[in-house]
Amino acid sequence: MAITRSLIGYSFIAPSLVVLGFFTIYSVVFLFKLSFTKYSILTGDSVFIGLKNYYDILSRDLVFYMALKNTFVFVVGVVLFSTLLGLMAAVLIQQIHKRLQTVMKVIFYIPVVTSAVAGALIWVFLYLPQFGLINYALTHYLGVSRPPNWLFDSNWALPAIMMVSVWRWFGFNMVIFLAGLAGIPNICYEAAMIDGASRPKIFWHVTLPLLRPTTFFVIVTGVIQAFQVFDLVNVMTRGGPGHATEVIVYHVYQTSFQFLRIGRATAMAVILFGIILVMTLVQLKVIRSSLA
Amino acid sequence: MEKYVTKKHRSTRSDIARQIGVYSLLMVAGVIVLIPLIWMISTMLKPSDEIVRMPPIIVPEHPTIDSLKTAWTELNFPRLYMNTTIMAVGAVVGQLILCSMAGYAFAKIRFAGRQAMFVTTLSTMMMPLQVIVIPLYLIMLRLGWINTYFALFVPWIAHGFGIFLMKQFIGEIPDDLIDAAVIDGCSHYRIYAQIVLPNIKPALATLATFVFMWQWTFYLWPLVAISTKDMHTLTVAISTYTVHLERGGAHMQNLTQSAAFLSSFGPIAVFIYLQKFFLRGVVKTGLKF
Repeated sequence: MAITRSLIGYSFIAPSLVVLGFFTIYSVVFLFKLSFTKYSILTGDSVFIGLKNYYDILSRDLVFYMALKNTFVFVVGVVLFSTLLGLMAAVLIQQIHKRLQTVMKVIFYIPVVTSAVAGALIWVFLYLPQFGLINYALTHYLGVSRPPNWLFDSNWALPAIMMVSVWRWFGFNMVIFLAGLAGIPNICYEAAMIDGASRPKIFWHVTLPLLRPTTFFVIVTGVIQAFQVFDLVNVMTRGGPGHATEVIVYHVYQTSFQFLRIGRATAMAVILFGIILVMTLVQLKVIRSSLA
Repeated sequence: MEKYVTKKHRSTRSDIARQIGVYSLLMVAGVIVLIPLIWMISTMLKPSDEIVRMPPIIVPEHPTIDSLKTAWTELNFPRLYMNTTIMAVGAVVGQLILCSMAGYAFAKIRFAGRQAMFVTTLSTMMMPLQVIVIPLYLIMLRLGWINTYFALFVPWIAHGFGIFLMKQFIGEIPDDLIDAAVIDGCSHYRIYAQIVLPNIKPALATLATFVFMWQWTFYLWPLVAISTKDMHTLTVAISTYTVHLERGGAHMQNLTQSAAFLSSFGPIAVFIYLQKFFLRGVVKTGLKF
């Protein structure tokens, strides 16, 4: 009886297990294996070279360090601003008429459903130094005499891409925050009102602490996603100018699919995997502690 | 917060001022967020000379759909839509079947090793494409699937998220219902097909929409898995359409913006039409899209 039930159970999960096992799990195993080899994509030959790929990356791949630094800057900036803007949008929207709430939610969420590639094409045009709308607005409405060259300026290219990412992301955070806000029982506010607390005080001492699980969720999922940034960079700057917008995934992509250094690239991917793993464990811990 | 203010006391003058502040702030933010999309539509309808005109104009003086037509034929949009639809629908159909089956087993059948298998399934969520793209590409190469539709959708016909989602929804179906069916001699296969599936239609719709949107906007995978133009998907094809910047400068932007529009108006329209259902799905699952 138990055995047949087990067989039935496995017959239900087998198709998924085969697909996930063969493509995803096997890929990870294969990834680790490749990272210890020198692999030729042309002949398919691989030579075991131990930790040399890792050693090379960490000891002399300056671009990797740049990519690491840029990725960290990207993650911190994008997560910070998309969380703050998402929270602000949610708090504001919660105070307006129900009908208009829907309209605003839809407007703020449209960039989320716009593909990164389409968004990138739109923003590349907006960022053009001479004919872009942004610099026109900066010089004519805000009196900036020498606006930046954005994607062509190594100091501004990364912030420019980060802004697009915030634009594409904060609407998602807003929706999650709105759900979090709706989950706060009215009685908490009423109690604070009776005690005579002011609005800012209520927000700071009642709303924010009660939103903590939501905020953690938003931040951790944001961090995991932001570490994987690739689409915007590949379309908007290809890592340039110089290596100003080089990020980890782009460097992995270039090292493998353009320079054909599979071993080296997979070792980088393993490092990225490690980062995502740590973040996911943090996420699990946070979710568990918020449930308890 | 509005609720307790209006309940507890009449709105005072400062409350009204606040409301005005909130509304105007949101209006400004809404306009800023929409400007890029408005600009995309405005630019694609402009003839070349109006694009580079200073000061810029929002409403084209001589609107034309010439650039839409040019982009449509130059990039071969019918083909792109077809390829992208195959990639999306293949994954959607696969996940609806495979994930709901697995979700049912994980939620309702007690079998040996269930917990371990479930954890294994979930752990695949930590292995995003960005990490495994190289080995996955090599696997496709060995299978001879590079540049085929198989490569585009077969790796995505099962997904950890989808299985997790299905397990959650199927878990909400009362055990009594299923136990009663088992006692009546109903097999798990029939229970799955005749009791479970009809009961989780909203969940299936949520999963279908999410997977469809993901696949439609997918970029990295079609970029590496496809090598010829006729197999390109929307995102890959339009991403190379910036070449006009080098070729002719800004006045060719009506072509690029046309391409951006043609690739993205579908998902945006679907979202606006289904927004309620869509946003509920986002909240329920905590997933983007």
